[in-house]
Amino acid sequence: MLNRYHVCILFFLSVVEGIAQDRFPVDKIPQKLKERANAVVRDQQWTINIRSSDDVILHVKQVVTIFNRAGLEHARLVLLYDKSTQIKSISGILQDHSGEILKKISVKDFVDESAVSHFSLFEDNRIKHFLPNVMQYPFTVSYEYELKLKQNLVIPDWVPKPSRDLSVELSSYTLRCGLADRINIKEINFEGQKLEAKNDKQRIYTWTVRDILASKNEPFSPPKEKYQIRVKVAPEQFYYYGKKGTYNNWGELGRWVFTDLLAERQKPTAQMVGKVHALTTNIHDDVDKVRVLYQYLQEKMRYVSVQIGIGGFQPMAASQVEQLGYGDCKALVNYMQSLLSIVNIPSYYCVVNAGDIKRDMDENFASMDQGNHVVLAVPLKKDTIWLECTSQKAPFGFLGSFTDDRVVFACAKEGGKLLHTPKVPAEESLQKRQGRFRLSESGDVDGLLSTSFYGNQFDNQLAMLGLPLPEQDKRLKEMYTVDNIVFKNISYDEDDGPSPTLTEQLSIVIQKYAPKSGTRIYLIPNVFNRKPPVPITHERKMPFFINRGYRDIDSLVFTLPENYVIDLKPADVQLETEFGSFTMKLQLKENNLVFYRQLILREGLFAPEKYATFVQFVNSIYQTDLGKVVFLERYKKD
Amino acid sequence: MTRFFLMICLLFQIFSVAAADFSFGLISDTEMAVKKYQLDSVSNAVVLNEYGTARFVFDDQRGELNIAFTYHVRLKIFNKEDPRQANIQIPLRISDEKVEYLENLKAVTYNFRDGRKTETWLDPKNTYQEALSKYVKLTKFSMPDIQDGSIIEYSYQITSPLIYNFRTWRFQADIPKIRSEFEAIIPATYTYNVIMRGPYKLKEQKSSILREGFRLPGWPIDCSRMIYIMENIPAFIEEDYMTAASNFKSAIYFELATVYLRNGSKHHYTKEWKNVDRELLTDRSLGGQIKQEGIFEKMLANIITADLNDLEKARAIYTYIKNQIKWNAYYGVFSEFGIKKALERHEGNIADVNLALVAALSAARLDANAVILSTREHGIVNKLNPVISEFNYVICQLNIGGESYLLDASDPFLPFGMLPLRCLNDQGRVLPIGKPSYWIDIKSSMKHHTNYVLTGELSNDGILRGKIKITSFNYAAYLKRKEIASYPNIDQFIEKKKEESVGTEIVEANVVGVDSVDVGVIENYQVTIKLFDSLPSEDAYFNPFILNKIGKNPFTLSERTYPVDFGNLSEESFEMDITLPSGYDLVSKPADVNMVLAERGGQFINRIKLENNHLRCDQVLRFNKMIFAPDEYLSLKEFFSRIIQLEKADIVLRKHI
Repeated sequence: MLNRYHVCILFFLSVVEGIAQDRFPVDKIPQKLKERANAVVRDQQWTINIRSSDDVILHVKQVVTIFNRAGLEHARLVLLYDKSTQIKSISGILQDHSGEILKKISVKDFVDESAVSHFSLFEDNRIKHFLPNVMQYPFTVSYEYELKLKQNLVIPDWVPKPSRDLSVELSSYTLRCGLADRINIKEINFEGQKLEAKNDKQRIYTWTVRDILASKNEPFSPPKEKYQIRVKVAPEQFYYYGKKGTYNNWGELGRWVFTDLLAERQKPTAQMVGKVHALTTNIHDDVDKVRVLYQYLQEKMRYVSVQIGIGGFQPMAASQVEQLGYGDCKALVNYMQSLLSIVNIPSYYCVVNAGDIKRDMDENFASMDQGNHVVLAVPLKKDTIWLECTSQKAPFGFLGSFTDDRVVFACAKEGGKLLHTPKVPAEESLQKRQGRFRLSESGDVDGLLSTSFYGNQFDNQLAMLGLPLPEQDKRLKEMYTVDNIVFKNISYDEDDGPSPTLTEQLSIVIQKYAPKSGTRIYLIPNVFNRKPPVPITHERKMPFFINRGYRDIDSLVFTLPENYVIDLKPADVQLETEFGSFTMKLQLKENNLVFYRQLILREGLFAPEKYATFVQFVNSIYQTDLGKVVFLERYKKD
Repeated sequence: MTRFFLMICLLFQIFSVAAADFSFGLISDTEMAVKKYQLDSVSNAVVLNEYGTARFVFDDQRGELNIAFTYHVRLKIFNKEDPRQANIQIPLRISDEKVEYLENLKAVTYNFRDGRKTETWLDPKNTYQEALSKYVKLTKFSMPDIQDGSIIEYSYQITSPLIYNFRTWRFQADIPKIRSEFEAIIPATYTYNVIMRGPYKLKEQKSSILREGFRLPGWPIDCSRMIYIMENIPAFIEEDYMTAASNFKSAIYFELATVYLRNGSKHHYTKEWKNVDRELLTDRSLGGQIKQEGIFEKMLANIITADLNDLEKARAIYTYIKNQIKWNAYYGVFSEFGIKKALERHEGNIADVNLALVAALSAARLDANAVILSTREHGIVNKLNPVISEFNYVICQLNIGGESYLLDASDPFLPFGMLPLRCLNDQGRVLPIGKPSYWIDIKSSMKHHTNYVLTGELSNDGILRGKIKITSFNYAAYLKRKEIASYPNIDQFIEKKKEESVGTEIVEANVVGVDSVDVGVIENYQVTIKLFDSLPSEDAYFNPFILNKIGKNPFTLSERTYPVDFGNLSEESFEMDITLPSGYDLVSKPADVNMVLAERGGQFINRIKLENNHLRCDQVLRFNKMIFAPDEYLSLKEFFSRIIQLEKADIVLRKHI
């Protein structure tokens, strides 16, 4: 063991000396690392030294060769800093393809800017960033920088290959910590073996990867965390903006969040108590109490995000939210929890990784950096009610695709725990459309279209509700991309019951939709719902991923003009696969053409070799959706 | 475009004008009763009243002249979910170490519950300062206790040492306004050019003299006081395919023209072009840079040789500058680093890049001039008097043997003589050294031009085997090169094309002309297209719009307020020649047409015929003009619509019996 440690250190020292002077000529790069790569990480040394809980040093040296213009962004260095993150040093060197030095980079070359996310009113983060000006490709840029973190609750992960078009020649992570420090470590998709060593002061862990190839960007690839190498560390004893704590699991972390960050922020004001009692005094059922208070929250509050210091983790006090009438997700959940506590209804402040892609909290590794949003869970006798507190429109108890079906982290006094948000099955994420139209001889189509949206499809459409008419008209024209479409009447009807439904009623005229050419009329009966094709990739490497299942039913009836007969009609289609099923039927019933289409798509992760069948399935639907019916003027066959 | 401009003359009438700011907090019953605004049903808020003043103040302590700008607004929120009106940010400018500062901010939200008015004031604790960049600092806050129907009111004062740009007053915004008033108090020693833009008329305009309205130490000066009022201003709603919103929004602009000094002399700021010419050409950051030919004298030997003709020299120098100075995406008519430093750093703003080009060309004894212009996003410059702040870009004009070329070296994908789309905006001003400046049209005769050719043979198995050749010229080639450059190499570009071409199998492909920006890009594809399971014994239908279908109308609005501006001319042509098995007749086809828009602004041709077993199709879609006025909109929309209708019809082939 001791030997290995020495070797390790020597190696390390030699690189410290070497990196600034080493030449990295492009012709030294193995051919396989150039394939599909816009850039290659020649050498990265990522070092974290946990000197104490309020003094963590991140020291990074990295050398990247950029092959072409498409890889230029990989030459950029962006460093985020704030009150607890200090940039100690930055330097760098630019080399040409042969390794000749073109320029030395210093902190003066960096641009300093505020880094307020687009959704926030204010955050106290800033960034320094730099992108080299090099006119000739390939070139090589090396950086060396050091950050001091004045906390150890959130330590940046090591991600040796952050992007698909990047290959990696060598990258290593060295973690140093005190002999007595207990550190939880999580290796994700790392297949090698970490090395462990110690000296009289510190323990040293080292992870190394070599020769990772760039890969192709394949459609329907799973989210990065399924394949990206990552190492996360979380010290058991931590310090963060003046607060201290200890955790080994979600239970302990959840208790700390509640006790140290939430409890003091939940105390309701007298005014809140009065209001809550007034609202609930005659209500006896808990579900109804929650409903009334949620309604009150939606009416009174709006979403404004302000993130300062510990404010990234700690909500604004309920009393302040009461006074301001706004807050971010944390503040509004915390406020709602405070309202519920007045009537003794317990609830959980739940941290979630929100987004259309479902991402779970890691069941085996607790850390503070896995979420980006907060929702409220109210466990009642029969069911748990989930509340999205930042929306003025969300129906009571409805989460939607931003936070559905995933593992979330509930923080509570008695200890944290992981919960799972509700899932809407594909069949219930339904869009059901019915239309009756008259087709005139001149090819005009007019009639009524009624579409009901359920489940996650309800969620997609909810934004339409309450928009001004001209705005609805504009958005409908973006959704129903049919030339000449005119909406003569638009109405929406919401049923916000236990399974919320939105029904859209449209009165539609489409002039010359089915144009006449000579003696023929061409009609594509699937006017509104056409599936785009998917790319045909051969030799697929990655599994493919369907994030969210759904079901669409379209049934349209066209009353045909007199004196026309069908000359050509697409054949009915019935497809059944493990990804879903598809039906298309066209029938002539007296003078009516009846079009029926149903598509069920199932979510899941599928083996790469199944991709070809998936392509066939979707692209058959694509072709079918464009199928034309040709009518011929009777007695006028040419 | 000129009809949107209106010059306001400064009239000095002597009568008194009453002070006009509305009282803070005194909300009238009418204001309380305002429902969703009658002028437009789209907006989530309406400005009930708005008042601003700008006046000169002398800071005795610092001995500095400032402009004090006060702003006071009262607005009503209809939808609290729309964060734009209740989340407020006030930008403060920073320039050459001169900083604007904000004072006297007060803000309040009024709510009306159970017939009672409640007030919630903004706590200064809840305002945030964000240093956005070197040039801008923001003060941000969100109004407390916002409900649907809340009225918010706030006012503040900005003191600005940047006196050259008097405050622009924007009457029109993205929400409607019931009333907007601006008062400018300008000492008689200063004259400004006042320019009014936008389609809406002032309700009232008053001016008067304010005796001794401004005081420099020991020197009282009379002021002219001007009041501009506009009422019932609709919200500005942006449309697709339009140039800068500032071309169309109603606003009033001030540009300092003359300052009379105490000794009786006067100093002209913005004057006539002849004075501006001299100033610009003597300015260290503009003319001064062009004159630095010396920098290039030595370098030229490495760039050009004596045996080249002038045009070849110019091309070589153009390529050299493109490869030496990378544009850092900053605009401006003045050089940021100076061309010497820009060459060393390999970076510069647009003036560094193109002034270096002018200087280098001049060093080679070529006739090159700087041309200043305003980009499409920046708006159109007024032609009445020179206002330098209206220009934000420099290009190079090169004259060789009676031919004139406009050059921009900021983009490696641009060929010699082609300007990027952002520049094609009305007119620019040429600044020749030693001669008067003059306007030129900044437009490109170069088109966005693509030609598609499909040739092949349809066999009895229903499969079409053939070749597709796509040639992109000029702007189309420029975009194609950019697309190809987004892949690690051409093979991967082709791989992507293969994957995405559903229904058409690409067997083999190559791309020619990617590396030289001065030629077209040619893509060759060898394809098989399965048209039928087998060639039907009855009528065979197939659609000839395989490669360049329009499919979707770019225009969906039923009417249009502002002109459609495509930015450049375009042409797309398609030629098809398919050999059929013998024995087929053409019984029906998409009609042969030749549609032409007024003044031949647009044209679409479709011709299909069957001759000696060759099925031939020729299509051309062409736009011969870039800008279509609102009254031409419906015919433009209908033009696309007719093409889409035509695309739906098939070719019908029938076998002889």
